[in-house]
Amino acid sequence: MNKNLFISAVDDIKASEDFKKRTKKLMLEKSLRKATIKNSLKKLSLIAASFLLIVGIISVSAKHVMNSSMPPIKPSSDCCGGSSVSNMFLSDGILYYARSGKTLYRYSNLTGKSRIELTLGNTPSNFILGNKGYIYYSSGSAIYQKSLKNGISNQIVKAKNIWVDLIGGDKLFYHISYKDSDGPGYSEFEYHYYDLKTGKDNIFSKRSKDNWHPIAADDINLIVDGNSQNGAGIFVFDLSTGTRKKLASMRSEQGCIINDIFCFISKDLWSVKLNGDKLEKIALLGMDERDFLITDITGLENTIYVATSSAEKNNILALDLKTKNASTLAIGPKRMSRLCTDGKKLYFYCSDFFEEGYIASIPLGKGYCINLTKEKNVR
Amino acid sequence: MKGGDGMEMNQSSTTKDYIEKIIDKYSDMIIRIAYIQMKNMSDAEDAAQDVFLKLIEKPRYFESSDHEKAWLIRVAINLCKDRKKMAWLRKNKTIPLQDSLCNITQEKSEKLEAIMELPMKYRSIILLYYYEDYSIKEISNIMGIKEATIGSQLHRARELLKTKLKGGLGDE
Repeated sequence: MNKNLFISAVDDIKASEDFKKRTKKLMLEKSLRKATIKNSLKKLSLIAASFLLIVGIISVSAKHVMNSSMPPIKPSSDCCGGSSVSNMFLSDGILYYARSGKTLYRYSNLTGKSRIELTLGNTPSNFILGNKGYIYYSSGSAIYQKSLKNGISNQIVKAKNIWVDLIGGDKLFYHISYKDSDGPGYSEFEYHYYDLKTGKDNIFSKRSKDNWHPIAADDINLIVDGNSQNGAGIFVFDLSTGTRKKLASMRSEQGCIINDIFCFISKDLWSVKLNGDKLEKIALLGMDERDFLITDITGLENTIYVATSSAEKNNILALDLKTKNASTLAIGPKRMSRLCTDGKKLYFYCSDFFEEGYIASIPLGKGYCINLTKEKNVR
Repeated sequence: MKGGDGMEMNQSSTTKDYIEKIIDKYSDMIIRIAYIQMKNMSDAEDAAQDVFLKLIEKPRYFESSDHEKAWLIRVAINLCKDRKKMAWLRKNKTIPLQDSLCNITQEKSEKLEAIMELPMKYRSIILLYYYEDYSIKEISNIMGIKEATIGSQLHRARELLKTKLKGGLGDE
């Protein structure tokens, strides 16, 4: 009864005729403007097809290669139409990226081309995680470890509705979901970690209604966002003692651990010590600008790397947590995300919403700032 | 640009037809998603307009009308999420349902209000599952979130609704 009433109530939410008229007009105007610009550009490009322009393009390309040390990678698109890069990681200095979480590509610095490393097809698999020469993925009924060197796969854990969550500090975190008996979805969850060094499997949260989303981990600590019977928020599990402590009441999906400090995105950028002390908001360049958003975060040693976006610009910033020095590493024409680094280079994916984007990189520690808005050869 | 039915959009008349078709076909759905997220009609219309403008920003190919519909839903949900995060909008207050939807009955308004009191991430899942009739797997593909997460969020949303509405939404 409630369901039918809900459906009939939702039916009452309709677009007004005025809205339809306005939107059609706006769309038509925009498409006509685009067509005019396209025609003008066509004419201009014919006139400008001179030797001077070729020299210009070559110099821009050379500058880009010097600055980023790697030309932008257009991710291979033989996967699902329109899907974007969902995950990136580095293993032995080689960049791997996943699309839709189901196809993993390996990028070759030598040929500048990507090749498919693994396809999970239409199995209800979730994200592929990479760590020290191996990848880990779930088929929904087992978790597999595949060597990136010889391609050999091994099943490491088996269970119904089993999903990989995170790799951190030589541990693979995963959970098992249990179906709700009186409706759709899952109602109970059990959380484990698999020690990649010893091969030992451990439960850190027994089967219950508690719902945790692992965000970051080091050798001892696991940070999760979640809901428990004792409330919601960000929690830290001490894996050596099996104890749990609440760090903040806010919610987060992205963060990293740097020297016993957890830095995370919860609308703004925050930091909190792993013992729960000193919850602080971190000021960022451009945070007062209109439509300001933090799109991604990663960290290594003393530095956190943060991708931001506002109505005016898109940046990647580096913040040294010890010295408090901040610098801009990249200025992009589109949003940047999927940050990953090995300490030598920072890789990122540049794309707006579900548009096809590209991957670029910037060398670290050399004072470079790459301005992709000026790179005419990028797109 | 190609539309969902493989329609080429090379001439302005074809473009006009495509725009007419797409607005007539999807504007109610996009407004519903945006309204459930933004909680007031004026913000919902702004967000919905941005969704349609994104569609003509650059050429894109949709394999089928299902693909086109899924793309629009994803963009709508993400655009609303972004707009909600923006500081200037966060200050905006919710406009009472009956001021936005003037003909809605008290009973229906109660149901919608219960949905709109849910955390934002649950609202679109409830709408896609119960109203648009998508399966958990399809919602997972549309939203780019793990199936297990969608499953647990749907369960949690239903639990919350049970406390707000006697009997929840039921699954008849």
